[in-house]
Amino acid sequence: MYLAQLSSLQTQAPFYINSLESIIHGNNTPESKEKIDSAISEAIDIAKGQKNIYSVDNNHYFFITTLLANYRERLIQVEKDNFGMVLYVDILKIFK
Amino acid sequence: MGRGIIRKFLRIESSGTLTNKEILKLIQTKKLVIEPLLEKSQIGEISIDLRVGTDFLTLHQGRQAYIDTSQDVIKKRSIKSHFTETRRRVGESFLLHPNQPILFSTLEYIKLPDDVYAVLTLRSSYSRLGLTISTIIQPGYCGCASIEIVNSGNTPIKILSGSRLVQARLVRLDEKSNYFKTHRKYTCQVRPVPSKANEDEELIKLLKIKENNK
Amino acid sequence: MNHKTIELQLLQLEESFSKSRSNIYSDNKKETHFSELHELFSAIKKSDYKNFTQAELDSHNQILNYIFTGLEFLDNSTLNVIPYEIVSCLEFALDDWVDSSNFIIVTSLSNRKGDFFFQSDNREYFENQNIEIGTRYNLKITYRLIQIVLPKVLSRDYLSIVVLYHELGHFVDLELNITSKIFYSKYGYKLSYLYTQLELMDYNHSMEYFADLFAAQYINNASNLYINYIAHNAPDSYTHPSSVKRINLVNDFLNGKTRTEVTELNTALVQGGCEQIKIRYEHIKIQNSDFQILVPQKIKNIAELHYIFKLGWEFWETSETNFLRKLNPRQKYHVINNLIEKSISNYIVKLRWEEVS
Repeated sequence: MYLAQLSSLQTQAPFYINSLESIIHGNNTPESKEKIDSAISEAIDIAKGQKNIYSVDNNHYFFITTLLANYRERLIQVEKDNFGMVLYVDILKIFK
Repeated sequence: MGRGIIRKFLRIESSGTLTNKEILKLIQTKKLVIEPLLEKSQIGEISIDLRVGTDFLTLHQGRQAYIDTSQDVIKKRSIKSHFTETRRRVGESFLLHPNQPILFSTLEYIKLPDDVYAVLTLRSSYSRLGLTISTIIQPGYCGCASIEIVNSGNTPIKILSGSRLVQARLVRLDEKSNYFKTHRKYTCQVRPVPSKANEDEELIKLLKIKENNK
Repeated sequence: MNHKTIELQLLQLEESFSKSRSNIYSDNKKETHFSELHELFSAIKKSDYKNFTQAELDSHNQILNYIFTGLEFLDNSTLNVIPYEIVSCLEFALDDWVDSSNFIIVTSLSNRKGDFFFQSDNREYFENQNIEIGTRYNLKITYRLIQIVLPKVLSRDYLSIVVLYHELGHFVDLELNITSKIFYSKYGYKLSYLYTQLELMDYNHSMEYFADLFAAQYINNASNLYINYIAHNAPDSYTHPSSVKRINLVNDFLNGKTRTEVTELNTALVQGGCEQIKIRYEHIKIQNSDFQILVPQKIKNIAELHYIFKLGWEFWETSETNFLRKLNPRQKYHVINNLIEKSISNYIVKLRWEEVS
């Protein structure tokens, strides 16, 4: 008796990689950038202790927890209003 | 007539087909159970309309040329395996092919009083299509009624699960029977059951006689 | 991985589609899902996959696997002998936590006696996939598939089927990431290999407690009764707490005693804007039950519906002394299971009938 989750966390990475690459190359859709940015903001809030994990958006859970596990120290230093390309490149490296 | 008056005076119910009033009274006192009763109009003047249930057994051709009812040894495949089970939800259709016996059960779970039996026939609109059924439900029966139906026409007939196919006439006996006293093979069935002829004790007797004749 | 992988997958899918039983789904949702899978497959076939980047190849590999699995679920689903009764009960329970209209539930009957489980894709995966295929092909998949697997021989055994409520609990947990969030909250955010065995065991145990409590909300301790039958006195293991601990937690919850496990879970749930673990059944007294007169239980509402399984267990456990005592064990087993099945079926049929009247 068990629950089998078909898509392991690994299978979601390609979608995020695609989105991040589009942002870096400047050919993203506004919606996809908005979603990534919102997820990064949430991760920053949690890293800074301004939000707790319980209220995180479940549509970005893997993304956010991966960022927190790999990049927490760096996230604390990021300003939310302006995500530079360097940030996206660094995050892309994590998912690759 | 005198007997009728005496019966009424002593409050002894008369035998014979139950009327609408009597049926409703039995339901009210929980001596007769018909569940679910989706529409009150199912109870007519002298009969109750019953619906097609959600479970069907289709007889299919097995490897043996005939169905052997004379033994119930594990080596021989049981009667159940000659039938294929199918389910439908209420409102979904089932096709009755010509000359293919089908077993279905009533949607309604029925509990009959110990002194009442039921005769099940098809509602007239269906019998005109070439379908036939004939079943008797024993007094004291508990369960959904299992009904065998055969399409004796030439064209397949579509029936809907939940449609009012069957008519039940309830008849009161002079004396009560005791359904569970005699060894009953059927226990609160809620799906159609194939014939349990194999388990009939009489067959064992017949086989013994055959042995003794040798 | 290169474009030849995608090409091979496409060819294999072509075969799968041609053999698929697409024409006999009686369910609109399943038909829609099948069409959407096929449309997506066709769009990928026509795409310029030979010139995809590595990331695009990877994501398309996932998408094609998703299509394969979807077809497999739809094809393996038991069209003719669906255990509607238990599926309806589970759908009602699921509806308390997520919008069940977004899901298609299919069932598959297994040949193995211990096979009780759910399979589905992950919500985040599904959303991300829809974004990707929306952007690229202007397509989307409407419904998520959940496959419930149960043993064929037990598909009408309502005493054991209670385990599916526990499995549903695991599904809801993973859907809402509850025990995962508690885990991160307790042990911090680290790379997975940096957590200790004890910490991971705690996580596993937490998942089991959630699933047990989830089930208990609906079916009282019926799930534990069955677990006790098959895993009596099991000790602590890496994956599961001991049977005794599990039974005690459920009993304490049912008796309204405060337990840190329950508090912890409810804190996580409430802060996530979700429902709480609480009693969601309505008690049916065994002495007043319609089963006593050998007829299905008249069920008043969904809360009573879930309790029917516990009622069945109560009759089973007292079958030597109650109205079943004169029957042989085989008859007792069939009577209880038949009455439970018909009680559920009658309730659902009446509900659907009233909805359209």
